[in-house]
Amino acid sequence: MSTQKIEIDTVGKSYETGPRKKRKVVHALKDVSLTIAPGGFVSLLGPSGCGKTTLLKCIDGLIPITEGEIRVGGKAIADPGRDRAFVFQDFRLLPWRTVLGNVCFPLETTISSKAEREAIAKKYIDMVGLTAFERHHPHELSGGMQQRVGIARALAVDPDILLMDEPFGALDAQTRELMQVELLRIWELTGKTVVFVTHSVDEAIFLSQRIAVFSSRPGTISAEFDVPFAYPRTDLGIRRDPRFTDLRQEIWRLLKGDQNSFSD
Amino acid sequence: MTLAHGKTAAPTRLAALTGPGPVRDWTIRVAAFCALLLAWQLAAQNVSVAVLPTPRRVWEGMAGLLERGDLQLAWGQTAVQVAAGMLLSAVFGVVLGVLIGWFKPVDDAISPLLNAVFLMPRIALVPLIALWFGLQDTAKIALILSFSFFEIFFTVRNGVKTIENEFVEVAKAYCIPQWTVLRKVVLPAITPYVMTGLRLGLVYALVGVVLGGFFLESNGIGGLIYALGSDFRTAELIAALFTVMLVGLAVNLGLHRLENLLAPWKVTR
Repeated sequence: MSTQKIEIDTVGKSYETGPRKKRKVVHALKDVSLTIAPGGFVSLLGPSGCGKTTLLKCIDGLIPITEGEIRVGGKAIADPGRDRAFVFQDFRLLPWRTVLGNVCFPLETTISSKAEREAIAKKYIDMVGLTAFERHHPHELSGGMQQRVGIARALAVDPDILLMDEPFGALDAQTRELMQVELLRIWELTGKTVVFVTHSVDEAIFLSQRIAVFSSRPGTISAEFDVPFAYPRTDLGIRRDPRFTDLRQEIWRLLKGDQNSFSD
Repeated sequence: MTLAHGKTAAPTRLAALTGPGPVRDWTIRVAAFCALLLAWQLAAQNVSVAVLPTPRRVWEGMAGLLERGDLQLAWGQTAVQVAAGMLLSAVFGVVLGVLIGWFKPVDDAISPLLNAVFLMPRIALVPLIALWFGLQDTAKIALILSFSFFEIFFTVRNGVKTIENEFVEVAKAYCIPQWTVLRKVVLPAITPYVMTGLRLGLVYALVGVVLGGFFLESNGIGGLIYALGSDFRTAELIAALFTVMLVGLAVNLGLHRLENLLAPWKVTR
């Protein structure tokens, strides 16, 4: 069960780009503020290049911020920590390792007993439904299965917070819907805080309690929405609800007004 | 569709020959080989034997070279030189490739220099190599090193840089210490790049060793080719060239197989 609040406090991220004599400052993030309650499920929603992935990597500590502060459990973060785990859009499994070896990988620096590591890894491989595939290598698995491994690897370090960067973006539509249901099941089971980056309005509404909508150049949060549905959620039940359509339209209008390059 | 499938086996066999697949590929290859042989035969009948001997004479030349042991001797010498040169190239290439790819300040300091040497035609080094190392095996090994090192080094270095974005960020996100990353992530991840580098390096090592036989001490396959050419023994010369081609093919294929065995996740063609 997660106990740490995430506080994003007027965060900015800018970097210089271009040849030496014509340096330009690009503001990837500007004045971003957001508070995420412990155990919450929050989506960062917006078009490509709006800075939502950058913010997620800043929360993890993979990218340093240039203004403001990000606090997790009251402490300002600067580096990646074991209380946060990252799930990548392109899975990033180690191809020479089996499913078991991949899930064990982050545990190898903290737990010296191999048996203990494997016991933990197996627990989470079971949880994502890959028990029969422990000894398989990533290239023998489908995209959906590879991302299940990615999620198991993240859960194995027992973080408070799961940071998920468009984790189902590379999957086909059907697998994607299955994985959404699976993720909600795991979230309810483990009580982790989830910060979920997506550019799909439907996915954000179906999954999250709160949605932070991004606008781009400079990347900032333009609006926040509460999603009124209780958990456990079922796909059909929600999509037929008139509140779903209303919320969907409202967010759409906001995104369209922001810029025309957005499409889904 | 169903009608066509209901027919006899004859159209199926024809389909195997005309449709895509290994059968058609090999049919075309064998046909092309025969056509080439025939064209060679026809051309050879109309010119002097010193310019282009017939396929049959080349075959006899090959038999003669093998009978006298010329080919065996030459390839034996060449194999020792290439093995020594490749060993040095592999060690230097892989070690420097990993270090320079991994530590950016070292890359910034050394790579421009190595790039400059890489862009220079290495054959121009022959006189200097002769002055430094003489004309015998040491000099040839140095020449092979100058030819094959860069292929291995640049392939490995670029490999390390490529995997950095892919896997190193993962390790960083999971708080893995840098030396552990080097050992558990970088070294296994570069295996396919090392294998590709060795394959390219070996191709260039063959170039180097043949040139060494021309310009340095005349031995090995390079020396044999040079001697046969000087004596106008064209049939045997072409036979010797065929062995160079076959060795190149065999080595390339063997390393490909090894690569797919060691890094099955990254199958290259």
